[in-house]
Amino acid sequence: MITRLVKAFLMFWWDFLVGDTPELFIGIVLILGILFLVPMHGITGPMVMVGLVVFTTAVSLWVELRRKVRQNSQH
Amino acid sequence: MSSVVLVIAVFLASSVEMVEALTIVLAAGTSRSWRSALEGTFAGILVLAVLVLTLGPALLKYVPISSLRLLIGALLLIFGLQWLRKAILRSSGLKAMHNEDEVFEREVKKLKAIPQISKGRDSTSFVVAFKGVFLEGLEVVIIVLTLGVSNHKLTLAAMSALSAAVVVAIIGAVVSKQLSKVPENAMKMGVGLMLVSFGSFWSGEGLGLQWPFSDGSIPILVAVYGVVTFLLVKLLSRQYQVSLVGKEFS
Repeated sequence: MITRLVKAFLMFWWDFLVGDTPELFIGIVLILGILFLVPMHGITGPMVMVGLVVFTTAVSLWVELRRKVRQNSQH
Repeated sequence: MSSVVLVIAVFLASSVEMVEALTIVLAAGTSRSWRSALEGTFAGILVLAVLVLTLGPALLKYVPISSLRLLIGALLLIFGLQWLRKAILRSSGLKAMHNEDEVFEREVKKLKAIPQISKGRDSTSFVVAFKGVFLEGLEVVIIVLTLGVSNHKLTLAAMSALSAAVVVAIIGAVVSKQLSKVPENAMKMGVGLMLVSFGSFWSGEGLGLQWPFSDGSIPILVAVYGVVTFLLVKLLSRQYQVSLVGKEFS
């Protein structure tokens, strides 16, 4: 019973955080890691963060576009 | 200013999820038992309210604020980007729009196929309505907790979510139909933009970044991400059309 509950709880968080977009999860972890490890002063930090968030979104959309184009060319 | 963005974000997020929950409750009520469907709905709302009331104050009391902001910011970024990505894909034609009429038809068909065991309380309606409200509402609870706790405005966030649920319920009761005309994708895009903005701000604060204008940066972030989203929709839509035309010629 407890094992099932723990498994269901972990599955919920896996679906919620990773789901079918692992690239977004990995991207956010990398962004926060970079900002944690590389000290940035003034406006540089916020600008780098926004740039990396935009880049992660674009990569995720590009992955989906390639997948969709490949899917269409197979039909 | 960030309070206004917070109220709008939570209200829109709750509206989107409650529109989806309403479709499931209506399907359970019309195809089987209204009484059991409504009982399931209230039970779902009750469990969600208990979650907010217990987890919110506990998070504030036991987790250090800088760690909390970093954790909440990261959650908001992941969650917000998932919403935004889906909305961009739908707007650019890569993904089909969410259709409440289709969902309603599918649910009714599925529910009618299950035999009714007794004349009294219908457990299927209860469970379907409860699950619908609870699962759709869980995303709202996470948004209320993350936005409410990080801004120290948990009551405001909870009230905003609750008022959206009430508005959707009243409209649903008046028209007694699933709300398929609601511009769900635009609302989802708006929520995604706000969550990503709050997420960038709070995770940045947690990491010690210095935002210009303090939390006045949040509306600026919404505007910047909004422009980028608009450009991404245009670019993706054009690229997809080009690939479709290329396929026709090959």
